[in-house]
Amino acid sequence: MDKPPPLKRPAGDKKMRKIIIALAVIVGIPVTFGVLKAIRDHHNPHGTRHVATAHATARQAPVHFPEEWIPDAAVAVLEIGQTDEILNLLLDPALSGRLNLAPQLSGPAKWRQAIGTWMFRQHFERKFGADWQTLVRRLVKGGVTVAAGSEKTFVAIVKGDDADFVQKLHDELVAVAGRGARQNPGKVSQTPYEGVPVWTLNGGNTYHAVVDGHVVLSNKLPAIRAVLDLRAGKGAGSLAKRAEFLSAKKSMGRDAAAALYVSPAVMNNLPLPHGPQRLQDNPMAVLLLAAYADAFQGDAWTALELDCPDGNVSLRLSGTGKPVRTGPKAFAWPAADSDGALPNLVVPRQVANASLYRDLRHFYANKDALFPERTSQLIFFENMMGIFFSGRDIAEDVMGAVDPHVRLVVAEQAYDPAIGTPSIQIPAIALVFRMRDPKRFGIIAEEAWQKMLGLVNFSRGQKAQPGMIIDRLDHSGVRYSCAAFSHAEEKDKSNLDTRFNFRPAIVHHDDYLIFSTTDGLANDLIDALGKPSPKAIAGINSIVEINGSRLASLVEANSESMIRDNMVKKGQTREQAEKGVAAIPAIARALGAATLRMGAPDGKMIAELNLTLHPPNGATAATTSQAGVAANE
Amino acid sequence: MTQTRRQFLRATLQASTLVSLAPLVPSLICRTALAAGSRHPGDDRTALVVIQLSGGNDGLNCVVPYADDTYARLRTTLRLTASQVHRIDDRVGFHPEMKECRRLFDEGLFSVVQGVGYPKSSRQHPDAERDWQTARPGDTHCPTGWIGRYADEASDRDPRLAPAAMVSTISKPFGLTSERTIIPAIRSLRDAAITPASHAAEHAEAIRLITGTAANDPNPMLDLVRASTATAHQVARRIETTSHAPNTTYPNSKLGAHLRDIATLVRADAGFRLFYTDLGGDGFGGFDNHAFQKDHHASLLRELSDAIGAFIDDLRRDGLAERVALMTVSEFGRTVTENGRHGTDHGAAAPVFLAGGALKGGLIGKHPELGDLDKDAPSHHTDFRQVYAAMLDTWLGCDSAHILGERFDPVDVFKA
Amino acid sequence: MQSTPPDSELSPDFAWAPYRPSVQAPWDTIRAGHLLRRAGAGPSLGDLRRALADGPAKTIDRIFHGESGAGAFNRQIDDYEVQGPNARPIDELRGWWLRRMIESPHPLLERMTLFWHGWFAISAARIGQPRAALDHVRMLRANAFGSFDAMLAAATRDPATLLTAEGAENFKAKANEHLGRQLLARFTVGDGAFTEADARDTARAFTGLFVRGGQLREVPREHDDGTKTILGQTGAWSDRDFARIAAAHPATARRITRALYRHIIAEDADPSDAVIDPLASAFASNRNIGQLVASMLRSNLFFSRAAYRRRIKSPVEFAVGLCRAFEKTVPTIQLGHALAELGQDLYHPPTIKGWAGGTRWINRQTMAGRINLARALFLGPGEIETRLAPGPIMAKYGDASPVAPAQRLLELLLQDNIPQATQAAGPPDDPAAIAFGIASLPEYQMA
Repeated sequence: MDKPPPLKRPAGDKKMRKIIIALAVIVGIPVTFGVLKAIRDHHNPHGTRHVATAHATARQAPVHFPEEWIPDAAVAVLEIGQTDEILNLLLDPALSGRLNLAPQLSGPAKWRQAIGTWMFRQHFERKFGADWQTLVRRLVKGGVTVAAGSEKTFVAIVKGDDADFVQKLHDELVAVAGRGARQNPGKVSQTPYEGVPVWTLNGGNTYHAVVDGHVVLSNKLPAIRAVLDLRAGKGAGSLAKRAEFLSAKKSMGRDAAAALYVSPAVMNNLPLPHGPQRLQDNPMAVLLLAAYADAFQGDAWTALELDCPDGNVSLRLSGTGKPVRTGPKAFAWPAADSDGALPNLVVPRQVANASLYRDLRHFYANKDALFPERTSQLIFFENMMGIFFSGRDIAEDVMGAVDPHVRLVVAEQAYDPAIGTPSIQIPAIALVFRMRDPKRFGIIAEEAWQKMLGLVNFSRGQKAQPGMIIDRLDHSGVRYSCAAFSHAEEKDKSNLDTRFNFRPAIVHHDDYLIFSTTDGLANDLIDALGKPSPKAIAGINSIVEINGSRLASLVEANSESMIRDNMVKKGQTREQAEKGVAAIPAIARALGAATLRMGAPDGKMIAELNLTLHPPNGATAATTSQAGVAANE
Repeated sequence: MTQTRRQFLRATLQASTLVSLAPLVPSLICRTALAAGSRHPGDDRTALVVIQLSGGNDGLNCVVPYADDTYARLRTTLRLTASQVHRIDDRVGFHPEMKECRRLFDEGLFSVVQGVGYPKSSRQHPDAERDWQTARPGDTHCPTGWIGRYADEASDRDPRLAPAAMVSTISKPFGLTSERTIIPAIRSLRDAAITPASHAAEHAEAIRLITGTAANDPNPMLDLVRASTATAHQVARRIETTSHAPNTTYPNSKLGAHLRDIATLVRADAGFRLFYTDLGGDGFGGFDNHAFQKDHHASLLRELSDAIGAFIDDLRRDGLAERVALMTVSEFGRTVTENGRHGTDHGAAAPVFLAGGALKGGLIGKHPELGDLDKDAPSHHTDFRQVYAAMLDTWLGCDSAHILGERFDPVDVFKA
Repeated sequence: MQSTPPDSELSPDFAWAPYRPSVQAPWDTIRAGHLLRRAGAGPSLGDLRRALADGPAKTIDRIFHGESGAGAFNRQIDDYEVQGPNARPIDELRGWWLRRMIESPHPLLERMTLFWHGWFAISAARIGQPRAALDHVRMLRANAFGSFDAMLAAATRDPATLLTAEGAENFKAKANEHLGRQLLARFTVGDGAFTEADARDTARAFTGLFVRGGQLREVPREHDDGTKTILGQTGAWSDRDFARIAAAHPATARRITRALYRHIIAEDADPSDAVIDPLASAFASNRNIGQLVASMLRSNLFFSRAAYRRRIKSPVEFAVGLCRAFEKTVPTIQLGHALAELGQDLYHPPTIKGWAGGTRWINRQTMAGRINLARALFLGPGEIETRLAPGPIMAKYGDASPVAPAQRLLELLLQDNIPQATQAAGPPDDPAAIAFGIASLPEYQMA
């Protein structure tokens, strides 16, 4: 949009003019904006979605990434080959709408940026006769390569579908930027290097050059020059010759939509929230994660691949270390190659579940090596286990009585209206074990559980708190014990105390042993386990699944409590806290269902994360697992 | 930030030198500011380190009566033989994992006060802990702890000081409950210093400016605050400079880290006379081994012994070992007979361990006779308050009778 | 501040006469700041300017009644503090109380509630259920300005008070003399003003009261209804009679007056009986806490040199004052933890004698702690994630005269009263660093 030529006006009118212009801007631009948007939407009723789906199924031909131009000092490289697929993901309005990817601006700044962006886009769309998404797609069609070096140096190389188009686009960009920077000489400039003009449009914050249909961009001038040197055949070594990088690339196999390669220099210096020392202090952390502590070893590069076909996102991280099958950490790796974690159990209203392969006997027998600190909690645990199991050896007789296939289930509760609903809703949680010697150990576990309940009741009684009554229940012919608080004296059925979330139960039947926090979940598990047991997933030793929409509804049920928590833990006002808490279910729903698998199916450690972004109502990622049974509402 | 604060203080407070204002400035501040220059204040002040062994330490497994028949008969699976222990004499020896303690013992830097307890202990954790922490067994109404009372008395004499500090991550034990004094919890050295570190010049400037300004409105309370602030900066500066000093290699355990921090605070003359730390943590305590005691206790003793060894060696290098005494306390000992779970239950008498450069050394008091047991536990012959009295009177130079509520004969543990 | 005669020369008549601005004792920012600090936790720039414009009498009225909306504000937080029939956990309750102090339109109410909390000194650690502790503090807030008769009657039947004073069990056969002693020594007449016989008979008056499951239970058959002599009065007294007798006793009035004197006027020296007596006898006759506080706040003595900077800020006053000055609420759970480390753990006074206060707040370690807290609040890093920012304050109160940030911050935090302060020549650019510098000064620790 061209500015009107400056006119000479009498001084007194200047103020009036300012007011009129201000009014015009305040009223006119949004109106125009709205009208134009309406017109465009009318011509293109599905908006971006229309464009997205047109490209949904086409898979692009493999691109060549210009690794020979990237200096070998790079420590991380991102390569995007299936640019359309990635753009579909980023531009999907459902996802971006829920995640609110817009920057947190407010007031005039937000308007200014919105108007500026809109005007910029309009200009290019008119000039090149296509909507902006198409232009972006064309610009990156030949692949995107981004490399990071030391001291926060970045280089990005983008190849368009046509060298001529890229050049024209660039020329127009320079022209627009030049006009906009008329007040700021020096903001837009170019210096030639190796015969190629190197531009900056923002006074030296970033530099770029256009060569052979590629746009090369960097935040440091020396980096751009190094790229141009390599292109000219001069300069030091390039990434294309780097052995560790090439082998990481080869080991990936198929052609992922995007891949990130990271050198050991970065992996070893990642700021982990808890260093190895803290990991050692926490037996649970050791149980879950110690097996993966050696995932990144040696000089090999780590590869992270991304694919996102049609509403599914899958990430695969390939480690560089091999599982350690001897010594203390071997408890997480199956002896037989065909063994691994069992598929997750499926129950109604499930929020999350996990299935692990962990040899608990081996784990506990090696506790001196794995978690040497003799904490008070550990001593207390041993004292209690000694009492509950009447002096039996913990590693051999207790942990060793169950086999390494352990499963955890978390499900939303369906509260009995006769009892009432607690004010804070906690989901039901259950652990499922398989006993090696069910005839002998079932009754031992029952005795231990009853002793524990007795101890809990006794301690509660000492603090003048009510205790639980143990009862025997029957479900589908399976009898089991369950303890519950008496609700006879409760007046307000819609606002019960938190303790009414808990009705601990123990089930030992066939060869399975269930510890559940509610009888409802115990019943559902009895049903699920009644079906023929599926085979283990070879090589995988940890599976975690989360159902985003169930998690979201759980958060919403507890939102008032979380809002108050936020207010006093973060000093927020009520409004800020409400926004913060409302964002969580939004994100959880947007991410849909997630499944994480970790293990070493081909001898090398991998982690795979699958997100099903728009699952049909109620289904979870479990529908794609080997159990193959859709959840029912 | 350092530049700005220094500039700001210089700019807004007219920097007058102390000399020109000398007639107006109270002598208290003069002394303090002069002392800011010297590294150690005039008097050689002693420090006491108390290590709480939470849960009830099994003395028989630390100082082992390996030759005793009763011991051999009743400790069926936990028994240690003559060849396993570090022999002290032909009756007792140290647990195999107490190697460093054994080394210090031979050099006269480690003592064992045997048979310490008190009459009519209930042998329950909350009660017995309370008895040791208040030093008033049976007084359920006692509102303060013995260390709290010590701190109150010490700060009555000099209000600028913080006489005692807890260097640990557990919740504050009752023994540190005081009426008037604030006893800080130092979880890491950052709590004790004025962060961030390495701004020595800023500290020096701050001290000069604070002490260099005089009020035209004499206000003793404000003077006291000024003196405390100046001291806080001095100590912070000393902690910065001494924490860069090389020291021995401490074991990689929680107790090792706590003792290393305590050594730094002693070196920096932070002014604390009494440090309190723990091994075994909150809750019932890591020493409460009712089940599978052998490995657990061994692991704890190794942590204790290695940490004390490194601590004393570190202090020795700076010639500070004579100024520090270390003492372990535990709410009770344990039974002689094993229970059926390869563990022991709550007992009565147990030894108290001491370490430091001013000790007499050796075994103090007789080993309790295992033929004369009090409900399956050894009987005591030394009241724990006698040990406290030794520390309070002889070592810290205050009135133990006032703090303990009665006069107790101090145990003779220090060199003449 | 201009010199007025030292306290020893102040006659009680002059001391307690209402303050009127004069040439020797003008109504300026120093007095306005002093009043607002002592009557709450600390002023914002807006509070200071308004007080300056309104004059002392109107400002004191506003301080007493609170701004409009105070009732609704307190009711809202009451709602946040509970979870159905239970209270939130104790560290959250601590956080909510600090939030009240920071945001309250009625800061004097919170200050008086805190005073009474130190007086009765219940400790949540001894009580167990947070609900009892919460109800106790609500009881204090409801009675903070009212009649001490009502306060004492409510407190002596409050489960939290009885649990802390170890008076949860009062059997007829074994009257709880320890409770009797605490009631007399700590809550009313004080040590030396009662005999062992008084303690025994007080204990007998309380027989039949039990605390079970956090609730008060009266068991009539356990009550000893015989004749008792308490503080010189004889009758078949019950616990309510004890409250009536002890509240009206002149020794109680004197103790409360002295305690409020330390809390409101000065902590550096104990005032003579001559100075205390007029207020103490007035309080003994009507037991009206609000009137006693008002007499103190309106007095010449309060606005004289004998009171100015003669108190040391408690950790709560230090931190809440900074938050109110910069009109920002910080995460108060973490703040509660930080203040506990500085020696003032709300809901957990060290002993039943409450917090000693005064010079006891300050030693070399707690000074380092205050400086570290101030740095964390202004510059970070720290557990408290929110920063206090001078920038918005400068913008909000920016007026025609462009004044350097240092000067504005000195006005806000210290009312310019640093000895030999000069106009900063080339101050640092960062107002947050300046604010931190001021907050670490010894002068800022004075209330």
